Amino acid sequence: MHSANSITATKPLLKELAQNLFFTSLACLVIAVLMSLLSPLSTLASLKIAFSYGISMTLLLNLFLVWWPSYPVWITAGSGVLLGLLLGTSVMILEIHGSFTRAFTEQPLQVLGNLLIGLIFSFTVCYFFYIHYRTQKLQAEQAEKEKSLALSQLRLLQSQIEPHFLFNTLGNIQGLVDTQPDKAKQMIQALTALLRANLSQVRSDTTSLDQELGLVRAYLEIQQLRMGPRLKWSIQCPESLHSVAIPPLLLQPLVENAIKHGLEPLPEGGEVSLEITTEQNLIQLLVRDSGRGFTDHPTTQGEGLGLSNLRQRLELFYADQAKLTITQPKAGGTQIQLSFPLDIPGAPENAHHLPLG
Amino acid sequence: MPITCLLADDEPILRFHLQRQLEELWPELDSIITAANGDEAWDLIQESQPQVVFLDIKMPGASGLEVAHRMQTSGLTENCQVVFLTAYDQHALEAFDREALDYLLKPLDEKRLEKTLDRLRRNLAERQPQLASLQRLEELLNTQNQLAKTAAPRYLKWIKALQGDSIHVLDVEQILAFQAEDKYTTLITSEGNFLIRTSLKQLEQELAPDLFWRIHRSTLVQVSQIARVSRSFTGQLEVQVEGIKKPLAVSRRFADQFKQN
Repeated sequence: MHSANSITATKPLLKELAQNLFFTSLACLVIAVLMSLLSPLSTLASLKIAFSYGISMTLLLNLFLVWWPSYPVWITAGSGVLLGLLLGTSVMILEIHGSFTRAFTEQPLQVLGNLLIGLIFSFTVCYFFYIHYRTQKLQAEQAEKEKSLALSQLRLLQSQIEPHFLFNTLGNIQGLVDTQPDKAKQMIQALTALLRANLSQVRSDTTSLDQELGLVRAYLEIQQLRMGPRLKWSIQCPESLHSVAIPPLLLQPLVENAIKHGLEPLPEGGEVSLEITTEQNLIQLLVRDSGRGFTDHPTTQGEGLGLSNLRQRLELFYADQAKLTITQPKAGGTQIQLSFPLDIPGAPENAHHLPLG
Repeated sequence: MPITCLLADDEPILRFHLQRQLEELWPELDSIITAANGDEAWDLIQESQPQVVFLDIKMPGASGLEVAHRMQTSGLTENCQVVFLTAYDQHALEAFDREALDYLLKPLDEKRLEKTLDRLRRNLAERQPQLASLQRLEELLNTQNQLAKTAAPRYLKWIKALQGDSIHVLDVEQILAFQAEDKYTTLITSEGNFLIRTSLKQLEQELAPDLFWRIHRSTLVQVSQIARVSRSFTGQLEVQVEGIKKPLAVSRRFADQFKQN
C-alpha cells in the first residue's frame, strides 16, 4: 500500500475543493429553480435556502476531513453533513416563518416536515457524491495495483543475472584461487555484493543512488578482472546526491548494456563512463561508451530488451517526467542520457483525498 | 613428432588458467600458443598449424564456431583436434552432444578435463581427425545463426534518426507516427520530431505489421497510440493520436481497417 501511495500523484487539495464547490453550486441552482417553481417561495428565497444547505455542507465536510484526518470518515464527514443540515434548515425556517419562535409555536408540524425534506434531500445528495467517490477510489486502487504488479514484474526481469556472466565469473575465480588468492577474494566479494544487491532490490520499491552505485561498482570490478586492460571505467557522482531515492536497478542495466553490446564485441575493448549531475530539479545521468555502437541489425540475443524494460519502468514510476535519450556521437560509441525528477512523484503518507461534495 | 596446442579465450584469467592446467596435466605438449580473440586465433592457426585447438565459443571478432569452420574449409582440421569451450550455451551444447563434438564447460572440472585430454592423446596416436565432416559443423553454425535470428526480433527494433546535428537511437515503440515528406520521412515522438531517409514503403516492410498501420499514402501510425477514430465535418476519416495535436487523415484506400463489423 505504501508503494502505491508513493507513486500516485494526488490532485492539489484546493483544486479538488473548487471542483466540488462548483458541482455543488450547479446542483443547488437546479434545486432552487425547482423549489421556486413548485412552492410559493420566491426565487431569491429558494436560492438562499438551497445554497445554505449545499455550500455549508461542502465546506464543513471538507474542512473536517482535512482538520481531523486521523478520525474515521463517518465521524468527520457525518458531523459536517449534520451541521450543514442544521444550518440549511435554520435558514429555511427563517425564510419561511420569519423567526424560530413563530415557526415552532404556530406551525410545528410544518417545521418538522421541512426538516424531514431537508434531511432526505441532503442524504440523497451525499449518497450520490459518496458513490462517485467510492467508484473513483476503487478505480484508482485497481490502477495502482496493476501498476505496482507491472513494476515488480519488470523489476524481476531486469534483475536476472545472465548465466553466461555468472559461470564466467566463477571460472575466473577458479582461475585466480591458486595463483592470485587476493584477487580471487576480491572477485568473490564483488560477486557477493552484486548478488545481494540484486536480491534485495527485487523486493524493494526504491533504493538510494549510493546503493545503486555500489551495485554498479561491484559489476564493473568483476568485469574489470574478466576483461583486464580491455576495459577502462569511471564513475562521477557528487556526494550530495548519494541519498537521493531512485527506482532500483536503474543504472546497472545501462552499464551492463554498454559493456555487453558496446565493448565486449570489440577485440580492443574500450571505455565506459557514468556521470551524474543535477540541473534544477532534475537528476541527469550520462552513460557513455566507446564501443561498437548500435548496429542496424541486432546480432546479440536480447539486445535492447533491457532498455525497453527500463523505459516501461520509468514511465510507470515517473509518468512523463523521465526522459531516456540514446544518441550516437560522431566520435563513435553510444551515449545514453537519462533525466528524472529529484523527488519521486506522489504524495507522502496522507492518503486522504477530499472525497465528498 | 612435436605437439603444438592453441588456446583461444578472450578472458585473460581463464586463458591463463587453462594453460596452466594443460602444462600440468599434459607435460608432453611441446608448446602452447594463446590467442585473445577469434581473428587472432585464426591467424595463429594458419601460421603454426597446431595439432590441438581449444576454442572459446563467444569471443570478439570471429566466434569459436566460425574459426573451426574456417579451419575445415581450408583443410586444417585433417591433423587437428578441436575442443570447444563455453560457459553457458544451451543450444550449442545440445548440438555438440548430437554431433559428438568435444567441449568443455567453464568453470573447468578437472576430471572432465582429464577425460578430454585422454581422448585427445588417443586420437593423436591413432591419427584420427576429429572433425571429419565439414557438413556437420556447417549445420551447427547454421542452427546457431538461425537461433540468433529467431531470438532477435525479425522486425526493426531500433531506428537511427537525425535531430538537428545529432544521431539519436530510437526504440520503434517510442515513435507515434511516420510521415513522408519529399525525400525524408519524419518520425513523430512525444519528445519531438526526427528525420530519416528511409521511404515509407521500405519502413512498412521492416516494421512489425501489427505495430504500425498505413493510414495514408504518406502516413504510418502506431496502432496502440490511436486514441480514437472520428469523422471530421467534411466527412474525412481521421485518427487522433495521444501526443499529436493535429488529427491524422485516413485516406479512403486505408479506411477499411477501421470499419466495424
